[in-house]
Amino acid sequence: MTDEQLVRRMQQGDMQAFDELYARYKDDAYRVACLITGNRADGEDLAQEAFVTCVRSIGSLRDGAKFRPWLIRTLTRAAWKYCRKARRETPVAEFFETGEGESALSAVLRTDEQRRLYEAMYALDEKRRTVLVLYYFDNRPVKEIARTLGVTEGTVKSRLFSARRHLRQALTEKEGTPEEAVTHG
Amino acid sequence: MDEMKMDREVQDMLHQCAQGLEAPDKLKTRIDFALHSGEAPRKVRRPFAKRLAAVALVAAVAVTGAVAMNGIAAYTFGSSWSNERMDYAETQAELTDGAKLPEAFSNGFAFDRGVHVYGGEKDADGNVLREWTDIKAEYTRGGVHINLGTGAAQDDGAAGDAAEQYDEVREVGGVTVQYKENLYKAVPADYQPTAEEQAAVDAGTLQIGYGASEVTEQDYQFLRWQQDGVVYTLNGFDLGMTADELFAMAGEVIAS
Repeated sequence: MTDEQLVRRMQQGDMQAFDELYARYKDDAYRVACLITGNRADGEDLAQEAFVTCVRSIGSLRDGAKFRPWLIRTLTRAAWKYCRKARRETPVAEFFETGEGESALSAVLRTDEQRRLYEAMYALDEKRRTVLVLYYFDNRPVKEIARTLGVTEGTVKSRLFSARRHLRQALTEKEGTPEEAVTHG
Repeated sequence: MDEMKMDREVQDMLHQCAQGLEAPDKLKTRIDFALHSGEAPRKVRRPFAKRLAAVALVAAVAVTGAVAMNGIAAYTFGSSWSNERMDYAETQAELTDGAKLPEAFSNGFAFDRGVHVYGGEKDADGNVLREWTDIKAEYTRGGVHINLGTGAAQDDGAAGDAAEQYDEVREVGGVTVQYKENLYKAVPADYQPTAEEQAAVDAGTLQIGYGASEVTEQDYQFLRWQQDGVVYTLNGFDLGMTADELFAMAGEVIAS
């Protein structure tokens, strides 16, 4: 059954259709949420909020075939809350010093290069990190990311450019901690 | 490292991080619980420039309508303005944690009633992205009404709050309070602004709210501040008050 058919069933009150859509996209949503927030707990909260919002608002979804982009869009629109909460609770430096980050997402990283990239990515503000996740992980084109985030394509390109520059700098530095953390714009 | 190699490294890094990530079983349980328990949607704030229009629209015409904004999003607003009347105790019980609501102000404005105000954010396709509920209290003095809105702050207050959007910004009791006064024009949904009006909108001296049955113009005064995780708005139409008086009212709430 297609997403469009499932959405139509949901709009008629069939919650089993939601169970199917959930099963289809739960991992996608959870992974994107975890990668944006940087940890599983906030990723779970964020994914929950996105799914609940989508169920409650399913009547407003005009094109059921666009359920997934709508879900991801809903998720990214709410992500900043969790990212800022995480930043308040766990400063980035401390996050890595305590090893909390290791147990979260980065424990599987094999090379020093990847670990430095990871560290640099979480030193970025959530706007740039979200663009990185959508572009490199979710494989979305710039145009779609712009539409998802509600910004212009130029803004997406600019965020991508500065994020890349920051990551490259992190890779070329001798020490693991990057000097510059982009936090504005 | 060349561009392509770095792109591959970033991709590999992200995919490796995500490799072991699978949505836990409890996530579905949590979602089902939230849906079946009728748990209220998280309260979220929208950028002030948009909120300003929202407050004006709700206060002026008390309808559920939509205001087209720049970018992808539209915002819908609704209230039970016409049929809801919570008393002071009921309104207090509905406040978000930490919010303060005086029963009366020293200049004579007294609490009259409280209402829920509902909002939602939509994308360009009309799909709902976020929803929130705020509490608005109406105070009266000699036939003049002023509204004090409260809601949970979900950001650091910086989004969209550039000083140039306001006529005046003051520190009151250690809290930054922003003030704006402009002309508010309520118009029917199919109203087409003149070039002059559009220029005024662009300059921030005119707000247009769509959804009214006829065109009306009013002077609109608005204050906004954030304290202890709560966003407050104090606003009204044709108040006939000075900015000093309104800042003093904000000060009373802040100090309470």
